[in-house]
Amino acid sequence: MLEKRASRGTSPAILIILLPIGMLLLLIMASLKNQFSLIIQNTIVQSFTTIFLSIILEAIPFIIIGVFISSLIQIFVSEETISKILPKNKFVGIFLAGIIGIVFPVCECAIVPIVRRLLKKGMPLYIGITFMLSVPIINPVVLVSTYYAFLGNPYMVLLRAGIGCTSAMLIGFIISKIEPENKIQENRQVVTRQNLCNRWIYNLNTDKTKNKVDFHIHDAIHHHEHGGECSCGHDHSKSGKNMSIADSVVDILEHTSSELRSVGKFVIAGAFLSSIMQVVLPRKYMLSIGHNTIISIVIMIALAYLLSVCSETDAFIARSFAAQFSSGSIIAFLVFGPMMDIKNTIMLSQAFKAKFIMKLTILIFIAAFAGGIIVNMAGVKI
Amino acid sequence: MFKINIKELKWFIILFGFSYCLYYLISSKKIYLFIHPRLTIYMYFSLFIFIILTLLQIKKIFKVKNENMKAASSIFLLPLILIYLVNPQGINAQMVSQKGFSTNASLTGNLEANKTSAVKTKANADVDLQVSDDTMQGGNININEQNYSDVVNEITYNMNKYKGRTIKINGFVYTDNTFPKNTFVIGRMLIICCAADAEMVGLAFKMDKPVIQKDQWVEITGVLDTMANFDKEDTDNRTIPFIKVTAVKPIQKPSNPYVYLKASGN
Repeated sequence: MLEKRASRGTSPAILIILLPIGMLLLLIMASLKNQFSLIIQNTIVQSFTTIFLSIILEAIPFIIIGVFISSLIQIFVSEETISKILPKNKFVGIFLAGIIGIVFPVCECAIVPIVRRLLKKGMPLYIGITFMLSVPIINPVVLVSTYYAFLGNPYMVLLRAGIGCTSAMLIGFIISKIEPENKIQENRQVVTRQNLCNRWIYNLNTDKTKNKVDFHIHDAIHHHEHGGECSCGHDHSKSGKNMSIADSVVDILEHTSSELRSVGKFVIAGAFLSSIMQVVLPRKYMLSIGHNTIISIVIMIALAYLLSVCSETDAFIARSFAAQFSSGSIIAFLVFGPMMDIKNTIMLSQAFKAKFIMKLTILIFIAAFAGGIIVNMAGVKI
Repeated sequence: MFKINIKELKWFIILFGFSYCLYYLISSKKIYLFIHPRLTIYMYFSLFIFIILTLLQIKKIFKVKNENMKAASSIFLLPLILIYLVNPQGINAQMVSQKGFSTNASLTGNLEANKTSAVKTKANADVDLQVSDDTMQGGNININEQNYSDVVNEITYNMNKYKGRTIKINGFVYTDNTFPKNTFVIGRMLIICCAADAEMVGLAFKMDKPVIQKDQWVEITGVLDTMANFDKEDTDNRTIPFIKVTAVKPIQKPSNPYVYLKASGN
């Protein structure tokens, strides 16, 4: 019922009711602030909020760049262009996707919306995945920051880029074998079908009349049809040929706005989880187990996943562990972190099935772990 | 009669909230509690985009169509509410006890100080000059915001060179139960990119009458000396420098509590 009203617009009368409620909420919050000043002064809450906000603030500009590029692709790049550009040979495709990051300075926060859009435009899954995994590691900004973090060991940069790039290509190749179809579309249909069921159940439970159930089903089906093309749900009728420049600018911005709306919540959820991790993980107790060649790799991979720091800065974090942890584990941290972490998992869950994300995480884990073992075996010293 | 689209209104409120929040943080300089100053330009960029999106959203509030757009998630409100309720003051000693303070100077960026002779950025050269000037005059070592991490690292690596010198340093006090009696660490948080990667840089000091509290901001003056390392995890350094305190002065927490790395700075 409520949904129906909202989709048709609400009369301003509602606002007259909502406004005082909003004011009341603000008042309650203000009084809460005084009442619970003790809890708020608690240093854990303070640290948590600082880290939470700092991750969001740091990620926002890069997310905006990501959704902006994604909007540009949506409006200016057609499916035909993509299939024309892409190499026909699978190996050439994977190889190019693996090294293009060197001229594509986008970090891991921004890459997910871009890849999502490219996949929707018909890019094969294995190329999209290779691209998504390699770009955050071998982009110039990350390589320079790695160079500065390990100033005495320039080969750290080569190791990171080399292992990262090779793993991304290998994973892309494996994906092309085990998941030949473009998963992103299928997922969408499943989601809408689930939605449909939920609505049915909801309607039955709330004992609506037959008439209204029909309305909701129609609603869901419509969403399905529309969603297959573009999840943002706004009007694309204008994106035809005769558009003025102003029109297309507005179109891009509106697209950016709606994509920010759908991607942003995952970023915030990811930042929330990883800042909890930062506050509760007792890092100092982990240091004592850092010398073991195998356990240290597992621990550093787990840390990379849980801390979810941006790939631009993770080299400096890794540097602070270098004295206590084996070299292989540092490399594993630097390779695994940009490819997969809490923030990424949550962002990916918007586009892929949980099962696929699991498979991908396991593949990345194996790649990073193997890379770490090899570095440890070779006896590289940092 | 005009109608209002509640879902679009919610997104408008969120966009407006973020724009205002960013504006407030930038104009009050509080933004530096969260991020490195080098990222300021990105913050202006975000603010600019948010303002444009907010303005664009105004007309959508009144545009009522049968769209099947989901309403913006309420999770967007979480950071806005938190920043209002908690009013965060930055990273403090509590976080250090979680991350641990290592006496090993392999903490972030110290390598640069270690290898200043090999790789010299202009900033590092300045510090070297200043430190060596002091050596010649036998004067006091004054640690301030500009040279904090460089000088602290220099002292940690070449402690014998500076033994017996008078030093003045400010920062917050950190201690935990692994420290020997009457031993504390004074330091500040070093930020590479944002508050999520903060690490403590600082020096140990000893005081006979421990009148200061953990997390209190002080300025101490004292003489540099060396002691046996009390950090069990640190196998590289058997001895560490510490300050024999001669004077302690409580100070106000600075508006920007952090210090930055010069080499990667602006």
